[in-house]
Amino acid sequence: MFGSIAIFGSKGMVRVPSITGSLASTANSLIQGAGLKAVNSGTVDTNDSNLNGKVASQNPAANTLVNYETNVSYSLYNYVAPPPTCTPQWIFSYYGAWSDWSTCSGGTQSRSRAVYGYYQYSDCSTSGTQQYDTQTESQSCTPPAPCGGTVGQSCVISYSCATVGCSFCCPDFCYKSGTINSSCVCANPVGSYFC
Amino acid sequence: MAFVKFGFLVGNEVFHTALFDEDHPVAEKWIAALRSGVQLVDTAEYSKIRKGYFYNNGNFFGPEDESMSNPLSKTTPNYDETIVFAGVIDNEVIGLMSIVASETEPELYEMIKAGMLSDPTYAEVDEEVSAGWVFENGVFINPEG
Repeated sequence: MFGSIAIFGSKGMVRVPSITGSLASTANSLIQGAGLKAVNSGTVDTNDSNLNGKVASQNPAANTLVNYETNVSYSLYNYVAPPPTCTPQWIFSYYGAWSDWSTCSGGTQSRSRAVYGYYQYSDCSTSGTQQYDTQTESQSCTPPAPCGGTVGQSCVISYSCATVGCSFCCPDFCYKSGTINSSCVCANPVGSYFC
Repeated sequence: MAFVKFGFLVGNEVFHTALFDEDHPVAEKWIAALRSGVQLVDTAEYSKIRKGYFYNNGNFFGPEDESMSNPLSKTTPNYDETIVFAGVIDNEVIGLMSIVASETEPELYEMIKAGMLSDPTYAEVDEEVSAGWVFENGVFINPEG
């Protein structure tokens, strides 16, 4: 007696086509062309714009023998722009006012001012404006004369006529003008006297 | 202190300046004298000329010789140590101005001596005026800008 022959599907087994990397339309054509059923199972995000709309994965795998009209599911790549990236750094906004010059010391004096700005993070978000640095500058200066006068200030001296150079004034005293030097001396490059 | 400055010129160029403190009696006297056109006379030919002496027509006279009848004797002028000029108003020496060689930079001393012996003029100037400035078109200017 001959047994019955069971036929699984009226059209037998087929191999699942490779659709990974194909566009959805192409994938559908390949699947349907193989006598199978295409099922879009969703998307997978990608930062690669070249992959947008292409098949990311398939199930069953390519080349698998399956029954005719078996569902072949696939997911598609969905391009998502990568998050912005920025160089973490302080971004300058403005300067504060200069401070007063410091006391002249050693021939140098300085002053400073605040530097304001905001911090930019790697994801491009920013902080609020705040002081993030201090700028300083220096200049040469003439220290005040130790006697309290101002170097370069005009000054006068009275000399007795006994002073060398003043004898012609006797019995009166001499008058001499000059400018205060850094040693607190009323100095004049010219020994000029009046009486 | 309030200062008044005078510049001494040969031609239109300042070769020397003198600064006077108005509050100082000697300076006050010289300010008034210079503003009054005091005559500056070289005393190098004389061994000793002092305030109170008299001067007339190229000769100095002693302090008691108000009649100016006996001129003082002259000597060879010597500027090695000092330059002394008498300030003369109405024939009387009202004061003296001197430049001491030992207290003056040599180049400055020679320049001032040459200027004072060249029949200089003088004028009241602003405090910033100094030797080297020139008088042009009614104002003193610094030729170095």
